[in-house]
Amino acid sequence: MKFEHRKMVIAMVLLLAGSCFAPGISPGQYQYAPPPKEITIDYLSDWYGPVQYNHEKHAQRADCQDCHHHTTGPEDSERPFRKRVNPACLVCHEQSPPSETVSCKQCHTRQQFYPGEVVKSDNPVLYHIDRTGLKRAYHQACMPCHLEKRTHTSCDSCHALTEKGRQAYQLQDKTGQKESSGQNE
Amino acid sequence: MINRRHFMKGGLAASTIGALGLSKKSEAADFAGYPDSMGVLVDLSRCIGCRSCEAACNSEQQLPPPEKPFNDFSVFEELRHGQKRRPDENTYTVVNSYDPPALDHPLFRKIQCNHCLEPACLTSCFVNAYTKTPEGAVIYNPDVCVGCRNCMIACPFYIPAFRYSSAFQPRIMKCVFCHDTRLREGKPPACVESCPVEALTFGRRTDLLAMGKQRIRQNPESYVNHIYGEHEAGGTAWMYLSPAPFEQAGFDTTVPNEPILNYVKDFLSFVPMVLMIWPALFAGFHLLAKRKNDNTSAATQDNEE
Repeated sequence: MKFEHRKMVIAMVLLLAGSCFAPGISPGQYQYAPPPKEITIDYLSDWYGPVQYNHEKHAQRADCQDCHHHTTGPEDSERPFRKRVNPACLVCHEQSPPSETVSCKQCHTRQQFYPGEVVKSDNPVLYHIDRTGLKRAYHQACMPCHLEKRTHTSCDSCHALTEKGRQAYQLQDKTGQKESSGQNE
Repeated sequence: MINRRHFMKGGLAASTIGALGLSKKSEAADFAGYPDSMGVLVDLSRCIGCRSCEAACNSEQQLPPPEKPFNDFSVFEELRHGQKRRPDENTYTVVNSYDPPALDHPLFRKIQCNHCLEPACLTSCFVNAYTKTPEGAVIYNPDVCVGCRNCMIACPFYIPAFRYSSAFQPRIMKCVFCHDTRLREGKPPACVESCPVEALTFGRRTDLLAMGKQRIRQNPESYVNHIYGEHEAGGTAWMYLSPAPFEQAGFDTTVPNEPILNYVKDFLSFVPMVLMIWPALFAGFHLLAKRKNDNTSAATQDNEE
């Protein structure tokens, strides 16, 4: 944890520095921070360990909008995000301002289906009655592309099973194969 | 004699009216479920067949270890007596794989107790071992169960399983919606929490129906326009959305929309009449007939004298 904490601080300093000195942005324009190079996704670690996500490498291979359906900053010719946005969203959000953050966890809850989330539908004018939780949001962001590009799609190619996970899946030896009594016969 | 005949007619009429009245008074027909009871919407178009729900169920309910680990996908090929896997005394839930012709990928379907709003198992149980809780779970009490296994016959989804393997602690084994450990505290069941892609959505049943209909409305090409369990067997807490016709994913689409209870209710309403009125009625007949015989024989004796 200590290591991750230090990393986080460094990342934040870098982000702040980047946003202050980012060239080409006039003071009146919306300022957006450059994306982080590497992210440790550990909010949901339980059966599986944290994901060391190389954001920089992925950003080189895909457009921001392939994963982030919200954007910061205004649209321009370099970042024509609206053409990628689901038309169903634009019915209401055509005039919506840029969001302050594009981080998944900002909107998609870790506590999906817990009492606090369930009662949100008490609001009679709530349109988004079926908001995705964080775990699905992550998998939805990654898996379609991994399937399409036929790269690794098995669970432990992104996050390794923890000891708790090994017990949950009833794996008994270290090779990932359950020892069967029939093998000796 | 005329008075006696009038009495019998009146008695018969009264018992018939009583019987009809009993059947009309039954409230079950209008029971729409507990308000704010919880449920789960299973979206088959999202399920990836990872079997995490099976693993979560096993550890949450402290069930016996499985023959194969939960990340062994060869179980999808298994057939037992020519049928795909189903919940048994060691497993409360199983995921099976199907190949609908219209899809280019397998379709996975999780099976468990559907937690009916008006459970047939509960109705069939004469010792009240089953309870439908206000939270939506159908739970089972092994302490009062006599092991008659009527519930196994009554269930339209063939869910309750009997622990035949234990000679000293036989009992019904079935999904209890994690009632004691999670649902009562408002938490989603273990299988729902373990699902990586939210193929299982937990919430109030009324909210789930709204969500299901919204998903169908927004992606009409991705779903069959039906929520299995909205009306089946009188409505169930666990409901399904499917991208292929439900019968191609192993669902029994012949399950009636009426609660199973309704098919036996009319008959059952006669049981109190039979038990309470018939003995008195026929005892009365017997006494009257006996009295007539006594009178006749007495009269004969008088005549003889």
